[in-house]
Amino acid sequence: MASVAAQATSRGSSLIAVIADEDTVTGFLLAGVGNVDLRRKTNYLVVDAKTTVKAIEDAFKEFTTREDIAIILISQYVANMIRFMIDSYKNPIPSILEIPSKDHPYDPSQDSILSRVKHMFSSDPTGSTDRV
Amino acid sequence: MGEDVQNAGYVKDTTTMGENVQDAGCVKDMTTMGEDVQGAGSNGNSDMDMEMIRWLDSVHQLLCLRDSLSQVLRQGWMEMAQARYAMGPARISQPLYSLKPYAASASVSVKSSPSSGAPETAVDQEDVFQPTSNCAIHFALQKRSSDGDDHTSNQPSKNTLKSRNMHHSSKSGEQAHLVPSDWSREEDIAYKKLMGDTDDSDTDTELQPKTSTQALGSTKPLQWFGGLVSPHLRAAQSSFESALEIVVDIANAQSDAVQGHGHGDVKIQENVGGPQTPEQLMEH
Repeated sequence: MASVAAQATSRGSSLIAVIADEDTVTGFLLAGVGNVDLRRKTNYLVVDAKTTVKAIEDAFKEFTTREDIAIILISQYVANMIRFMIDSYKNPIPSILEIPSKDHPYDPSQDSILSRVKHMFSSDPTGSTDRV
Repeated sequence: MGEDVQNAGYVKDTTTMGENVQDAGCVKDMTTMGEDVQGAGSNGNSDMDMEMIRWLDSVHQLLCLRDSLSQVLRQGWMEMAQARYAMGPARISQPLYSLKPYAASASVSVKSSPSSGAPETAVDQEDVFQPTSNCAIHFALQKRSSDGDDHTSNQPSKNTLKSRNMHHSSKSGEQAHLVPSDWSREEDIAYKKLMGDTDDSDTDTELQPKTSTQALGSTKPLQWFGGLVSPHLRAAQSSFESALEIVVDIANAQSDAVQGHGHGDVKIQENVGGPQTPEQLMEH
């Protein structure tokens, strides 16, 4: 293992995964982010009333371990269901973006990334945030 | 507002404006304007102040982008609701999604470069693409048009693509793409055809089974919902395409904010010589 200066590297044509409600997934599929490979594996998951937390966890794990996904869009109310997984996720890629949903507006206080940023200014050293 | 800050070591809220900071070491939110930071003290503290200001700028940009994303998404949902009202609820639903293999027309390119001040890190001889938290990561949206050409919002560098457990799958002269190494040869050939053979992208491409595995192609998602779709659905598509561009900008701003946060901690530890929170540092 050689000790060298880190070099700029790049990766092209990575996918954007979506874990959200039907309207949001439909919209982003219309925008062209959808991908179905030869094994019928998709880069999106539609979350509805029948979707279990386990299914969301499995999808999140799968998307975070796939090498061809660079960004994961997840509705905030879905992210709240698996908040412990998202808080413990520290890798820069794929990047996790919490987005609002039709029925649940975006709440910055619940965003994992902004919570880390807010901790810098928090007078509470524990950095606790109010989450519903 | 209009106060003179006499002492260091506190954090002010965003709405204060026109203040004169007469002592160094206070952390203020970026919307304060017209301030004169005097008494910067040592060069280490002034570097840290500049780092803080840059970081606060990235946080501000992140919040602005989130606000615009919410607005664009709201517009897209409204247009989709109008399309669903016009076409019927069953005409725009998940069962109509195409499950035939197709490639995404909108993707992102990722560029990772070492950030300034980041310590040199040992890398493997294999030179794998493993960006760390010290790397500056930049995302660029790539869209494949109907003629098969890739258009990038920000031109990424044409460095060689490296990744762990991936190998190149490309035709000569084409952009290299990464595929999992455990794909069979037939899947690899089909994937190459998908990436290289996009002649029929004007219509919703039907699978052409030239081999045992079906050839992949691009698709037009609007055609999943019928030959004649409501103009509201087209408007919704346009809104979500705009939202996609904002999403990529948010990813970049988020990466800058998180990276800047990490740098701030590193600089604080370097200057003070121990792990301390910024609040403890301000009290010195």
